[in-house]
Amino acid sequence: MTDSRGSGDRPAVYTWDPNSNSGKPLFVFNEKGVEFDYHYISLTDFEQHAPEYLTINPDGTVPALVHRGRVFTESTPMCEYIDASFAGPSLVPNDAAARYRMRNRCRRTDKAAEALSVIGWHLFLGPMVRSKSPEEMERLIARIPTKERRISWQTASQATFSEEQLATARARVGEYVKELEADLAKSPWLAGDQFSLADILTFANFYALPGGYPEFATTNFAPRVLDWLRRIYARPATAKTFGMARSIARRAFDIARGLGNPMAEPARA
Amino acid sequence: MLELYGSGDPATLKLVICLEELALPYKFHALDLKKLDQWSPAHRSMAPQGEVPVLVDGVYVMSDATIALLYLGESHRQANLVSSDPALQYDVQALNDVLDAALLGSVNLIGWHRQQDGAARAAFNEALAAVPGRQKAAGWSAVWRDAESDRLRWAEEKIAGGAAKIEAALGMRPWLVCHGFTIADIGAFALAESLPALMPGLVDAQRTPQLYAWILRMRARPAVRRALTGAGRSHGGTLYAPP
Repeated sequence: MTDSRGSGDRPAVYTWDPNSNSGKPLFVFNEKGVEFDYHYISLTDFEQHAPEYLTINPDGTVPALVHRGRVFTESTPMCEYIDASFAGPSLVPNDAAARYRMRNRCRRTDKAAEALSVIGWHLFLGPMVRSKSPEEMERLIARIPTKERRISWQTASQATFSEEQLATARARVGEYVKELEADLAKSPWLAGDQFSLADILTFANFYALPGGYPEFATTNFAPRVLDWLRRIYARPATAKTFGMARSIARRAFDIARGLGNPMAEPARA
Repeated sequence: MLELYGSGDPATLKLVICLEELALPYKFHALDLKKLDQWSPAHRSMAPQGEVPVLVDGVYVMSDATIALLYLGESHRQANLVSSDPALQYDVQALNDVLDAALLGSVNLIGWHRQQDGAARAAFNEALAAVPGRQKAAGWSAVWRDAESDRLRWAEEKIAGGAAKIEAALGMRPWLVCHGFTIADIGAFALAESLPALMPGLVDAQRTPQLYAWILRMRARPAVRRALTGAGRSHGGTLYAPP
């Protein structure tokens, strides 16, 4: 089968840029060295709610993985599925306790990412959404498939955050960076001696730390986190993944230059 | 010997059921969440942000009940509570994550309001505000839904979504995942078992027949029966966790 929609053995990923949840399966497939079809879903054009995409994932969220005709839509367990189902280096430890540590880090990162997304909304998506006409926003919200997320978008489209709310979210990011720093004092990677999904999924959320949060990306505040970022930027799979970026994640190349250029920029396709 | 620090709350129930299903010996340490036992220095040495429950297996301290469930299931594979098929195991873990997001905070929030009157909640919030080093929530729900009435309405919305997900999964099979009875049933039941009492207009034999029948099937299991009357539940029911 060579169907690019994922009905055969070749996996198909429907997602946005390598950024936060959208990036998780892209980084993991590239670390495994597995070929896949990348179907770009532009969040800034609201393509995740377009009828064509809803035939893939009726919930209208990204990423979605299609493999052997099955659809996977929860990004963190999806990465464990990829690791277990494809050849390539193992990204999940065998030992039950190390596995607990890895999964705990993934869940805590997902929680901390909520604070990141508040700031991300304030800086990027919020202004973009507010620049649309009310009629256009109404039309875009009406096609969101679940009621819960329609309410969320309704509120978000009008939300502006107070200085205090933004300060709380920033402080939360700083606390989480300190937590990562403490983990990296115990072992070279977040879940132990082995590079694992904990590192990949946390990096997918925090790769832009030096850009968005320079106060936390210093050798005084978090030297081990900075070193960890450099080590992951230097991985070939990281350069390959960011080479696939079309919008927000292109900034990764500037950030890597600021970190002393650990990442070789691949030739543009 | 395994040690479990918990209360009569839904998250603790996940681990109590799993330990009973696996017939593992364990020592239960009861925490009084209303009296802020979860914020005591002793508990915070295991769970810095007052997480409940905490499972201790020798040197391993686990303060996330959902992943500790996976740890127990994978450490006792002969009991078949997890699947070795990656796609089915994805179903188990994805359901756990989705239902935690939909139900865990919401069920506790509504239940806590039901069990504690305004004065008791105010006294608790005052004591909680005095706890040093407690991290403030900074996600979307924290910055949007300031008013208590908004939070409660939103929680009901999320519970309705979670109940619908369980109902849909059970339309095709007796347990939540094709593999058979798994930790997905254990995790989901711990969150949903009190819904017929908490949300009678939403979860009952008519509106959610599959979910309702599954709750009865779960309650009939000897291990679940022991869990519902044992550790943390000597008073005879769910004690919802405070915010």
